[in-house]
Amino acid sequence: MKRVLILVSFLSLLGVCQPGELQADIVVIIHPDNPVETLSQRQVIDIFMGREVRFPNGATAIPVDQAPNSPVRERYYQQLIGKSIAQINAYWARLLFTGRATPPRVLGSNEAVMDTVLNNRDVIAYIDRADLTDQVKIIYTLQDAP
Amino acid sequence: MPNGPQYPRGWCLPCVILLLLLAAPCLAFDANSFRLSTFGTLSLSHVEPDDLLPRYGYDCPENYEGRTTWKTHSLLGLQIDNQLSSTVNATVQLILKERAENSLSHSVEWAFLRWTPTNDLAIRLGRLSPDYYMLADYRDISFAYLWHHLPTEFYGPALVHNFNGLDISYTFRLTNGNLTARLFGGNSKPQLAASDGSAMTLDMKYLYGASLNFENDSWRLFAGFSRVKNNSELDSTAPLLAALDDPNVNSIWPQSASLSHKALFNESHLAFYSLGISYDHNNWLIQGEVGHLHFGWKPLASTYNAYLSIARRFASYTPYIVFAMIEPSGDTQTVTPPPSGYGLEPLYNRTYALFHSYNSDHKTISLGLRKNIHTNLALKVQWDHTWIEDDGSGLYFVETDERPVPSSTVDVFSLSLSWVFGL
Repeated sequence: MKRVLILVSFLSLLGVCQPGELQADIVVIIHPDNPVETLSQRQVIDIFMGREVRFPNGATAIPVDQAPNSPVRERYYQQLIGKSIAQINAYWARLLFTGRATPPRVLGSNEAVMDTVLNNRDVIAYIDRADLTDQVKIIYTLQDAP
Repeated sequence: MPNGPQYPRGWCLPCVILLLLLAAPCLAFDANSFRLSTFGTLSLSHVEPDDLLPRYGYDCPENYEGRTTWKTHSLLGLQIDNQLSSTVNATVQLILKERAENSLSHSVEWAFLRWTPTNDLAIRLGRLSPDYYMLADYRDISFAYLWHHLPTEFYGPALVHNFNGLDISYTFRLTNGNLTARLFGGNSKPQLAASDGSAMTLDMKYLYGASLNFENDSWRLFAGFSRVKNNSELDSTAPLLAALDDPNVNSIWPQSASLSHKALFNESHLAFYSLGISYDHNNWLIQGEVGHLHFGWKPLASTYNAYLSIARRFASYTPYIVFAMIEPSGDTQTVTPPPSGYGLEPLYNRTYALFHSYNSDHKTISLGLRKNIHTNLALKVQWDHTWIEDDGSGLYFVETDERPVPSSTVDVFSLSLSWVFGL
């Protein structure tokens, strides 16, 4: 066991084997009074890609995005739909500049995201679980690929 | 009187666009119900040789400095969206680019009200886009597509960019994606640019069309058509048609009256038909369209056109290859020479030129690379090699007096920066 630890430590120093950057899950959240309890990955994708504008119960869904260059935004779309932010922007450029739909409103910080969710029961957002407070309701969890 | 400083001609627009690019992040604005977004392209193209210069569309003016142009694809766009109520929003989009004739009306690309009474139904009223081709309504948003420019063989002849009218779309939520059906109708006033720098605004009535668009995370399937009637005559052909209608000419050259009738632009119809497919999955991007253009105006032969694009993403780099073609779908109008000795050769030459100058018959292979420099900024380089058949250079500015225009090859090297702000 000691030899294994030494080997892992050595490889880590060489950059060959990273012990693993621990990243918290990203969670999709809504206002605690919103009656929606859970969403599928498909439903989350459709809401954030502008293909669906309502929750399954018929209530309006207002998605909001994290800051343009925030790591959580990059991880969110990569894990949710397998696309980079540049690809997501190209997709939204097509919809926005043809007047078909408008992209999610962008908020500049985790605090702004939490405030917006807590002040509007129609808002749906995402946040790193490490930045979560227990005031909001989690309806979907994205887990880092192993 | 001393002259002021002399600036190289043709640099004004690129400089303005570059300055506005630097200012674009400040211009983008997003409040609760109001959104200001910008997009743009700064482009440079070089053509070899210099006697056939691609125009990329009938509205594109001749703006080459020798073999090079900054202006052809460079543009700046600005869009304002205002959510007026929970079901109504207003959109205005302005595009600043080099045109044969600049005016505020031509610069307003879209200006409409959108009413969405239900989740699936949308009704728009105002200046709108006729999406008879898969990319027809975002041809100026370079950041939204892969290539440096849209395949000329397919999008070059599509001269109707917008119309004033109404469209209705309904979206069916299917298990594997969304299917959107759209109907549209109205009037259009597209601009035609001549090689001498002049412009003409066409009056097109009774434009109508429909499209079906299926889309999910990986696939997009599209079918579209549109038909429109010309409601104006071409000023440039009026003297020629009058000469062909002259009874004295008719008595010597019997075909002249018939040719004059076939060259009438007014009341002729144009129709566009297309099928398209796009696949984007596991870093492979494959896209193609086939189309048919029916021109009721005989000097412009109807065509079949198509393209196929294959690309592969490697992180932020995406190399691609495109094959594109356009060819007449029927015989071009035969112009029989008049009897000699009556001095009608100049009239014959002008008539022959009218019936053979606008046809397009060429194929292009393009190689290119897109690099996403930032999440909203892309650098693109592209090389086009085109084989043009005899008298098939209707989408080119012809700088030679040789008629018929002989078959030729053209190479275009292009470089661009494209961006979006406000997403």
